[in-house]
Amino acid sequence: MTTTLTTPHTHRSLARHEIRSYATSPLFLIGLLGLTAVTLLSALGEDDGSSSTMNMIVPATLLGLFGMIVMAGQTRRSDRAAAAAGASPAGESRRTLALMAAIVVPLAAALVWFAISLVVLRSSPPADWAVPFGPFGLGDVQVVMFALGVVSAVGGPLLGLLVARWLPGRSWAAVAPVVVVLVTILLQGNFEATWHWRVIWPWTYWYGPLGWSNIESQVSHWVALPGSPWMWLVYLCALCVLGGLVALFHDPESDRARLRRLVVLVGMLALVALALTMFLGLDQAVVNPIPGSSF
Amino acid sequence: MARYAAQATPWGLVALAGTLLMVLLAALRLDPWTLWPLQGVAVGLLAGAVGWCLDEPAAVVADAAPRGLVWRTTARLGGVALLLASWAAAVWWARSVLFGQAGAVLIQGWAAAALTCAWVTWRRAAGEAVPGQRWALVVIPLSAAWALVRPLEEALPVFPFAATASTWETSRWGWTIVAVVSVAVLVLVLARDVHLPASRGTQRARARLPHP
Repeated sequence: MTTTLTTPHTHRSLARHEIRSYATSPLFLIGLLGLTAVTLLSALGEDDGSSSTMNMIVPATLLGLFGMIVMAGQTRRSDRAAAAAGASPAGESRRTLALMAAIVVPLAAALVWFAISLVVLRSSPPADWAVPFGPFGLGDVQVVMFALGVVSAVGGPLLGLLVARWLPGRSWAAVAPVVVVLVTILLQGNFEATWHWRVIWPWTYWYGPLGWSNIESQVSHWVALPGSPWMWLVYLCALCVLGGLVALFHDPESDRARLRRLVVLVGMLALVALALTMFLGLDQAVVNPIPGSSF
Repeated sequence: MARYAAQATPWGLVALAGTLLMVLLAALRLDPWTLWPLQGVAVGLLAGAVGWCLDEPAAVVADAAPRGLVWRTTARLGGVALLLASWAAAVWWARSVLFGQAGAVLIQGWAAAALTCAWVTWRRAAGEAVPGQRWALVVIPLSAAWALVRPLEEALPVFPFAATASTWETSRWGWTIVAVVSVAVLVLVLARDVHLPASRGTQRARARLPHP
């Protein structure tokens, strides 16, 4: 049984503490270092013709995937500290909100990455065989870069928070990234059978040399996949909010009736956005007729 | 020893990791060209699970017991052996899609396991209770990131890709050196534990126990 006595000052201090812990976490710093090195090498090195349009895997992995582990560990530390304190100054919901505040750290890093990527995209435009082409415009490309690079940097830590809250046992924090990578790589858009419904998963490619099976020939045509990336961005944002609400719902002392209503509301919004993702935008995959290099 | 091994080894995690190893390498059979990063992810998972097996959550009690680190590490090797067997079976199952490099892939897993054993046992000898968990939470995302992003793939081919023979050769040598050095370190750590009256971990654990 914990006693809860909170003031706005307590909330701010708790949030500041979690933000500082996240920003100084060794795994986050390793990821940030890797992201900086790869982004600089990519920006200053020789361009392969795709400019910065295919670099989203770097922040998704080094901020998002690493963020899952960082946030799961931080959540467990927060719970241990609260249990040790006994009469905790903040209940689970308040601590969950403070942990969510720490997401500003990977978000800020991802936004800097995105800004650099846009500069590279403008200063060294992609080749004609890449994107944008035909009906898939520059705006679509930028939305995809934002969704796969920035939103995944926020979504990863939120997923780590969910795992730590709902799955007891530290081993889940280690196994979860493996499962996430496995499903992501299967649904990243390489298999034609998944092209129409792959958008259910929160990380998938929208364009690229998706005839990668021809990698031996070193030549392939870039493809833009069906759906609306703009509505997909709405879907991803709704998923992030949903993740936060479900994490808050874990607290038995929270206002669960209100949270349940919000979960249903945001869940429905996510479903509508998903349906619109599938039915708006390109209705079929479009192939760039100019042959380009594969990766 | 069997009773200790049965209770001390995280068999549930061993079973889950062993199954995931099979799934990860079996998935390569769908299309190794596009799913190849799963091979590196599997190596990281193997290393993480091996580390977890060697942890001693009850170190405060176990480190002060007369049984030394060698005995307890040997008892825990059952879980490690199962994981290595799963790895070997998974590589054998996927051998037709490993670009003719099944042997090199097998070595990667075994070398990663040897490195893990050396590091975790060294930290255990120093008195740390669960170094394997910390190791797993670093090595799994790092190996996944390395496999997905593939930095320095020519200069440092940790997880080589496709049919470039030179990078496979470099990688095979690198992993073999890692394995040999790791086994040497492991033997040294365990030998020290046998010859010293009590390792630092044991000394610390005994100091924590109440005096009669």
